[in-house]
Order: sequence, then C-alpha cells, then structure tokens
Amino acid sequence: MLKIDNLHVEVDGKKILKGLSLTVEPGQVHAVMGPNGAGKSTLGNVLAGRDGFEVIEGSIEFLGQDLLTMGPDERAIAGLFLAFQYPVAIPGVNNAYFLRTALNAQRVARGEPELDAMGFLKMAREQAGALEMDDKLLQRAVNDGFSGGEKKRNEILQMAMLQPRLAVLDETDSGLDIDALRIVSEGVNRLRDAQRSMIVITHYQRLLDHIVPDLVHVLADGRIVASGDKSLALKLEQEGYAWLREADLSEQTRMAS
Amino acid sequence: MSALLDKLLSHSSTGGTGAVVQQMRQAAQKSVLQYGLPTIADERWKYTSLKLLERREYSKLGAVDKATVIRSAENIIGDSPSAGLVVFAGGHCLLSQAPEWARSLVDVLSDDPEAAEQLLSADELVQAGSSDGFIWLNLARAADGLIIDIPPGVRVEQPLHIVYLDEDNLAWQLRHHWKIAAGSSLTIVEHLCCTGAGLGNIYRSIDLESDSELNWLTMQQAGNEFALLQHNHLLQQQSSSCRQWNLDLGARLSRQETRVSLTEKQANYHYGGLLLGQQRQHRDQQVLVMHDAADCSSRQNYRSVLAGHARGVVNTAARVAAGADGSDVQQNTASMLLSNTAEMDAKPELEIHADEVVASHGATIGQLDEEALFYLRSRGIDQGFAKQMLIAGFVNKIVTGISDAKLAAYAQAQVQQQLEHLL
Amino acid sequence: MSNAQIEQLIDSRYKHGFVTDIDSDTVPPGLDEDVIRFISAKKGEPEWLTEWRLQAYRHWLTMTAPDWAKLDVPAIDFQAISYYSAPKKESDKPQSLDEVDPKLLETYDKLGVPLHERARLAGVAVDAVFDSVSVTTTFKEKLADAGVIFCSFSEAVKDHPELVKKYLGTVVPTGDNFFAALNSAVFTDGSFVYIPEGVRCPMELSTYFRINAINTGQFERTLIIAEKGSYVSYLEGCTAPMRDENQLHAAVVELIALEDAEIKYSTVQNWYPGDENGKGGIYNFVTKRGDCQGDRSRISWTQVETGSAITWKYPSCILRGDDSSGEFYSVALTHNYQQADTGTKMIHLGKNTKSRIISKGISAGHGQNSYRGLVKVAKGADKARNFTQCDSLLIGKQCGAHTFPYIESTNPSAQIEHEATTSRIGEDQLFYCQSRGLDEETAVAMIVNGFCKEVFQELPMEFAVEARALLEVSLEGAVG
Repeated sequence: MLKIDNLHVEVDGKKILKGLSLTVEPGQVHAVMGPNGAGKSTLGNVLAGRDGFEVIEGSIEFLGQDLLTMGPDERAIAGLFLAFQYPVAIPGVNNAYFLRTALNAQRVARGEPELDAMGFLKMAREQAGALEMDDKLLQRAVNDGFSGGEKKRNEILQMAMLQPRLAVLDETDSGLDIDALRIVSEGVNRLRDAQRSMIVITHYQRLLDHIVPDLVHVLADGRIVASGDKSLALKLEQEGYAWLREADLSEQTRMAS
Repeated sequence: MSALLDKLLSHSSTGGTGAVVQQMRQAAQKSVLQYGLPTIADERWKYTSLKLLERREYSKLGAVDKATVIRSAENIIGDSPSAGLVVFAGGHCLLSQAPEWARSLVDVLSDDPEAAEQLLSADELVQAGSSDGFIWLNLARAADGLIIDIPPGVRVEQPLHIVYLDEDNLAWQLRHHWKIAAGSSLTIVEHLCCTGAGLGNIYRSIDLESDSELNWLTMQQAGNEFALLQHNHLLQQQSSSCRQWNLDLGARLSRQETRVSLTEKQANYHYGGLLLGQQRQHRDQQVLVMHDAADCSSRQNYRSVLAGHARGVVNTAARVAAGADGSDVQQNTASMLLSNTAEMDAKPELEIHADEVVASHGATIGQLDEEALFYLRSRGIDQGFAKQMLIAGFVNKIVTGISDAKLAAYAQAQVQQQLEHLL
Repeated sequence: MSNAQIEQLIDSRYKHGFVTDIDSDTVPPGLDEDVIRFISAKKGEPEWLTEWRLQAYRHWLTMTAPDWAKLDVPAIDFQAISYYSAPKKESDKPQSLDEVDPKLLETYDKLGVPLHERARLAGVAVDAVFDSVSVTTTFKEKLADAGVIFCSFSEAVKDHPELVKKYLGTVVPTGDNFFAALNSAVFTDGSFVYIPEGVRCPMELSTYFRINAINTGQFERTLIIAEKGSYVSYLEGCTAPMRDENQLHAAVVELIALEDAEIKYSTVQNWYPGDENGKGGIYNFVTKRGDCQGDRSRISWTQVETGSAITWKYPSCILRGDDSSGEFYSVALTHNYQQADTGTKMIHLGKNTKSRIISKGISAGHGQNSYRGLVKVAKGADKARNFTQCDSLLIGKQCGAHTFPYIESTNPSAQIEHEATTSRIGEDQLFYCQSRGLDEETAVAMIVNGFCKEVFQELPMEFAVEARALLEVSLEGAVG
C-alpha cells in the first residue's frame, strides 16, 4: 500500500524529517505518536503534497506509484486522503457543491459515472446522519464558521464519501470533547476494512482507545525511534516521552526496522 | 478644449423644445466649456485617464430599425418575466409593452415641456454645480432618456428591463429621471450590451419618496472596446430603501460615480458591486453616501477580480453629517489580483461629524488563498477548477445578495460565464 | 476657589505655557535670497550648502501650499515671519552647563527637563534646541566611545561635512513639497545622528524642541543615518509657550537605514494647541520620511500628537531593501478647535517587505481629526505584506473623525489588509467605571488610554508615562 523509505524533508530550510521509513500494508491501521515538533504533521502534509515541504532525500511509493511526482489532486484521485488538523474555511463555496465536485472528479477519473445532485445529496445526508452532523452544514460555506467539532466531523464525512484507499488522520482528536471523539472514531471505524489502510497521527493515546491500531510508532526528531503494538501507546501515556531519550534508541530503531 | 470634447460636442444634437429647456442646455454647454473634461489631476478621476478615448473617432447618431432592435433585446432578456421593456439604440429610447408610468425623455420634451423643465432643473447636482464636465455634457447634449414616474402606492411586481444595444462607434448621452412615489416599489434590471468602440455617457437622477423601494440590478456586459461613463444621483426620503447591485463585467473602460443623499431618517441604501477585469479593461467605481439624517444605514460591498493587464479602482465614501445620530455605515472592499500586470486601487473613506455612529470599513487586496487551493486539490479537484471554485466563492457574496432568486440565478450564470473567460 | 487654586488649574491646562525673556539676535521678518545667505553665513556654512538652500528657495517660489488635506488653514504670510533668531552670546557658545544662561536652565526646569540631572539619571543624551541654535550637548563622550555621532546639525556641517553632503536631501528632496522646500531654504538647526556599522547605540537619544521668540518660525532639520547592522532609538519631544499669535513650524526629518539597521523614532508632540476658542496655537507642517535602503532594515515611527492648532504630518517609509519593514504607530488627539491631518505612506519596493500601521484618532470638542495614508505595492515587491488598523474615537457632537486611506497594489503576491472603525465612548463603559467610584474625567482618561494602548506600548517607558499624562491634560473639559 504505502512504502516510505529514508524520507528527509525540509521546511523553510530547516530539516524536519531526517530519514523516516514506514511501510503500511492493506487493511492495517498505524498510529504515529510523538512529542510536539517531532514532525508528525509534516508527515501528513508531505503525503498529501503540500507546497513548501521539500523532499531532499528518500522516496514514497503508494500503490505502486511514485507519490512524490504527483500533484495533490492526483494523489487524492489515486486514493489518498488527508484529514486536516486545521480544516480550511472557504467562504462563499457551498459545502455540498464542494464535496460533490470532489467526488465526481474522482469518479470520472476512475471511469465511473458522475453522481447527480439528488443521488449525491441522499448519500451525503445518510453519511452526515451517521456522524450526528446537522444537515444544514452541507448548505453552508466549506468550514466557514464551523465549530472545531463540526470541522472534524466534516473531514470524516468527506472521507466517508470519497472512500479513500489510505486515510491519514492528522490530530483528528484535537479540539474534540468526549462525545464528539466517540462519534468521529465510530465514523472512522466504520470505514475500516481489509483493503483500506489508515495512518492515525496523534499526540495522545486516548484516540487509540477508540481507533485501535495494529501498530504504534513513535516519531521523535524526524525519525521513527520506536515501534510496537498498542501497549507502546499505553506506555507513552503513563511515562511520557522522556524515557525514550534515556532508552537505547538505536536498539529500539533496529527492532522497528 | 480637448479633442475628445470637440468630437463629443460635434457628434450630438441639442434636442428639445421650449425656450427654458434650450436655455438650460445652452447654460450647460457653457459649463462644459468652462470646466472641460476631467483629468487625472481631479481627485475623483485620479486613476482614470481619457487618453484612449482621445484617439478614437465617433460616428453620428442615425435612425434605427425599431422592430429589429426590440427583437435583439428580447433575445437578451430571454423569458425573464417583465413589467416592460425599454431599449436604447443609436441614442434613441424605444419602448415595448411599456407601462404608462414610463416615457421617453424625447416624448416628455415634446408633449409636456413644462414637466421636462421641472425634471431637468430640479436635479440637485445641476443646481449645486458640479465641476465634472461629463455631467454638463450630458445635460447639454442628452439625446434621449427614460422618465419613470410611479404614482403613490403602486407596487410593481415584475422587473422593468432596460437594454442598451449598439454595434457602431457611436457616442451618445442619455439622461434618466426615475421617481418612485411614496409607498411604491419597483425593480429595474439594466443590461448594457453595446458592442462597438462607442462611448456612452449615462446620467441617472433617482428620487425615492418616503417608504418607497427600488431594487436595481445593472449588468454591464458591453463589448471589449466600448467605453461607458455613468453618473447616478439618488435622493432618498424617509424610510425609503434602495438595493443596488452593479455587476461590472465588460467594456474596455467603465467608470461610474454614484452619489446617494439620505435626506430623511431611516432611509437605507445597500450596494453590492462586482468588478471582473481582464486584458486591458479599466474599471472605476466611485460611491459616495451622504448620511444627512438620523438613523439611516448604508452598506457598500465590493468584490474585484482582475486578470491580464486590467486595472480596478474602487472608492467608497460615506459622509455622516453633524446630527445624523444613529447612522450605521459599513464598507467592505476585497480584491484579488490574478496576474503580475493587473492593478487595484482602493480608497475607502469615512468622514464622520456625529458621535452616535457605528462606522467601519475593511479593505483587502490579495490573491487566491494557497491553503484553500491545497485543500480543494487534496480532495481530488484539479488546479484549474479549484481556482475557478475559489473565485466564484469569493464573488458570491455580491451575487447571492440579490434579493430576487430568479434575478440572482440569472446574474450568477452571467458572472460564471465571465469567470471562465478570466482564467 | 482660591487664587492659588485657579492659578494651579490654569497651569495644569497648559503646564508648559510661559515665556522666557531673553534678547534674541533676530533678523527682521521677511524672506529673500539675502536672508538665506545671511542664515548660511551666520552659521559659517560651506558654499555648496548655501547654494543648496538657494536652489530650494527658488523651487519653493514656484510652489503653492498644499490644499488637499482636510484642514482649514488660515493664509500664512511668509514675509511676516522672522527666519533667524539665536541666543545673544552666539559667538562664545557655552561649553558646559555652567556657562549656560541661568534663565535658560530655569526654562528647562519648568519644562521638566533638568538637563544635568534627568539626562544623567535616565541615561539619556540630550541635544536641546533653544530657539534655533543648539546650546549644549551632553553624553558626547560616552557616545563617542561607541563611535556614535550625535550633535547639532550645525556642528555636523562643520565636523562631518562629507556625511551631511552625502545624505542631506536624499530622502526628502528639496522640492518634495511646499513646506519641505521652505525648510530646506531656511532651516537653522536640528539634530544629526550617525551610528557606525554594527553599533547598537548605548542609550536612547532625545531632543527637546521649544519655540520661544515671538513670530519666529522653527525650521528644524534632522538627519539620522544607521549604518549596516546598527540600531538607534531616537526620542523627540516638544513643548511650546502660550502665545496668541500663530507660529509656523515646518521641520524635516530624514532617516536612512542601511542593511540590517534599525531606527526607532518616537515623538511626543505637545506644541501649544491654541485656547478653547481656537485662538493661537502652532501650525505644524512636518515632513518625516525614512528610507529602508538596505535589506532587512527596519524603521519604526511612533507618534503621540496632542498639541498644535494644525498638524499636517505623514511620517513615511520607503521600503527599498528586500525583507525591510516599516511601522507607524500613532495617537492623534484633537480638542477644542484643533485640526489634525496625519498618517503615513508605506511604499513597498523590495521583496518580502512588511508594513504595519496602527492609528488611533481621538476627537473632542470641535476637533477635526483625519487619518490619511497610502499603502503602495510596486511591481517588484513580491510577497509584500501590509496590515493597517485605523480607529477613531469621538467624544462629543461637534467634532469629526475621518479616514482617507489610499491602497494601491500592482503585485498579485502582495497581501494588504485595512480595517477601520469609528466609535464613541460607550455610555455603558462610562457607567461601569463610574459605578466603581471613578469620576467621569478619570473614566474617560482611562478608556482613552485603553484605546491607545497598542501605540503606547511602542514608546520607550518614560515617554509612555509622559504620553499618558499628556492625554489626560489634553482631554480636560472634554466631557460633562
């Protein structure tokens, strides 16, 4: 599904990722955790193809294609989805129209027929309902004036509609209260299947109580310094990130690779 | 005297009967010669030069075939419901299925010279003595115009359509006097569709009596060589309401100066302006709202998108007189430049002489939001279409503000078409 | 109320209003080439500078006073003004404070500017201009150690002619505007600052200006040059005696910041504003401009304008160097019949240039207060950024608050944001303060101070305190 090899990334001339490697198989859910400034969000942005994140070394292969040569829209059409940490508000652009345009762009690229307005709206309402999201949000401007929770639900709604092969959830739990966290997680879990993979980027382990990962990685100083199963996340929760620095990192890294 | 003024004076007639009207016309002509045409040394014309027009030649106005012209106009308005159709071509006012409250200026001048005198002389700008030569040129040489006089208590349900059609390099002055009496309401939709390398000089004097209402949509879609100069003067009485939407989409040069006097309390004036410019198009919009009475409100919203070598100018001004307490003033101008050679000049002015006032303005100039563009692309929308969506979203505030849903849809379609050209 | 109390009250209305009686060495009113030659000769200037003045004068003769500002300016008779006056003992200039005329020192005491104490205590070097000739300069040695030149303009002409010749008139050309041309022709003195490469000026530099002699226009000329990587903070404060006849003040300030240099220029302007009937007061027509010549250079203007009958002033920045930045923080207060038309111009020429404008206008009584500004982004100024916030506060029904911003952009990557609001002091705010025991005047002063906070925090500490006090004095009688 996804193979990141020795990825080095600079932002404004500053090295953020320093040799990150990660392989995700179909159906797997990977959690990427780490302290602030470790490069977690950079990983999500590089995968989605944001400008200003310069890959100076390494490669990313997605479903057999070289991801780094593709534009953001091409990546989306290939099946990659980034749920933004800070979803962008776009005043004046209708949310439903936006989503339908995106969905149809992907359908046309895949050789599927476009969905008409009625068919689309029915589907969108169903998905919105499952996320306990107010229908009215579909008729508002994209994320404009949405609360933090509404924005995050809107991200998951898009994910549910677009049915990506690989979803990257960037700090999707930030700014959510307990109820919203449960609803959003359930939305994500409904999308889990043997063909779809996910990378869940988070600072706290509480999200992983709801979205249980197959593997947990710790990102520190631009590299994955430890990998393990869900118990690693619990250990981090109890002991913080400090123990990582004291532990023999090189050994941990060897275990991970 | 400038070459342009020379040409404009020699190509237009001084129609009208009655000694007083003739006198008025002659006095106006004196004023034109005294002031000349404006130059960039005039603060209000600072950004608009007439150089382009100086080089052009204009043809004399001639007769037009009424049936053909009306048919073309009907094609333009399509099957939109209408209270009547007024067409201007070759400097003539042609009426089709016109209601009795609408007459041409030429008809009024010949049938009812006294009323014509009253109309022309009552205009405040004429009385106050503007120094803008185009205003005087218009009075001196207006070939025709539309006189609207809606009696009290009449609510006209369907819009009155006004279509301007010309294909030649004609130069004309048209003069409108619109009066909506107490408690009446009217919707006007203007389509400016001239295609030649002509010059249009339109003056509108609009009188809104108490509790009257005017909804007024202008779609300026003239051809790429046309030059259009407009002056509007609105006088609003107590609790009157004017909602104006001005979609400035076509023409090589278009300049409009609107002056609104809120003379009695609780009048309100809402303005939405959209400027789309490309190639070497030049747009200049000047709006001055004078709050002379208490508890009036005004809104001035502009969205501009400029590509190619286009230049946009938006000067919004509000003046709150001493004692006009409870005034509520908002101005907002947002502009987007799409090319290295486009230019935008904005000047949002506030002049406040009363203290119980809420007044604010905001102005921004920028480009497409990179974040938003990335967001759309990350959902699979290609760059070109994503840009178009963002620009449409940006200008939406103006178009969706149009209160009549059918008109809004019509306007939206026109704007969409222009946007596609723009990118 | 006792006489003493009344006197005290009057004194606090305009604390700095008094006249010092010193014989002035004054030329008769009037202006022609001979007067200019006289000024130049009196100051022992080189030929090129005399010629420079004469050129400016000839240009000035072809110009007319600007009328575009929203100001009602009475006709000024430029032939009725005396263009030169100096303290009597001009030939043997005092070398130390001991040599200074005791009456002069007394004047500074009343102004709250005890040179020998306050300057030392505050660590500030003071170049005081009494009328038109620099009287004394302190802390010269400490500055000299750092290589900083801080002296009167006349001294600079004598001691550093090459620097003066190189930079004078490069930011504000002689023919820039009517008042700048006049200043160029007749300026008598002012300050000169030169900060060498890489030097951080060890103290804040300040100058106190004061108009004293009747009918004497003041035409200061200030030139500040910050070499590569240097830093200087310059403070300017003015007070003037109470007079019935209007006095003209037309200063020119030029700032030059080379690569990585930073100049911070702060002003508290408290010229005599005229009385409550609009009689008297200073006419203040100032041209201030900074040139951010070098990459990453930075110029910041902060001004608190409470004085003068008429203020016409637009401290500006030419953002020439890439990544250079310009700032303008302003509080302008007009009370009684004061008029102010002030603002800034930010001209973005270099790439990644930034500008920030924060303007707070307060109008009371019959005061008229206008913000006039220009933000211009030239073709090559890629990614230029501007933010402008203009707020006006109205106190009373007879005053006016106006905003005239010009925003011109020819670069699609530029981002320009302008916001403006007009409001008055809310009755609920006043009531809230009063319900906590504050009287109305204190409450208004407090609210106004809050309104101006963003600007005050840009001022050096001692100035901020002074500025706050000034606002309170200036607003006396504005409510109730």
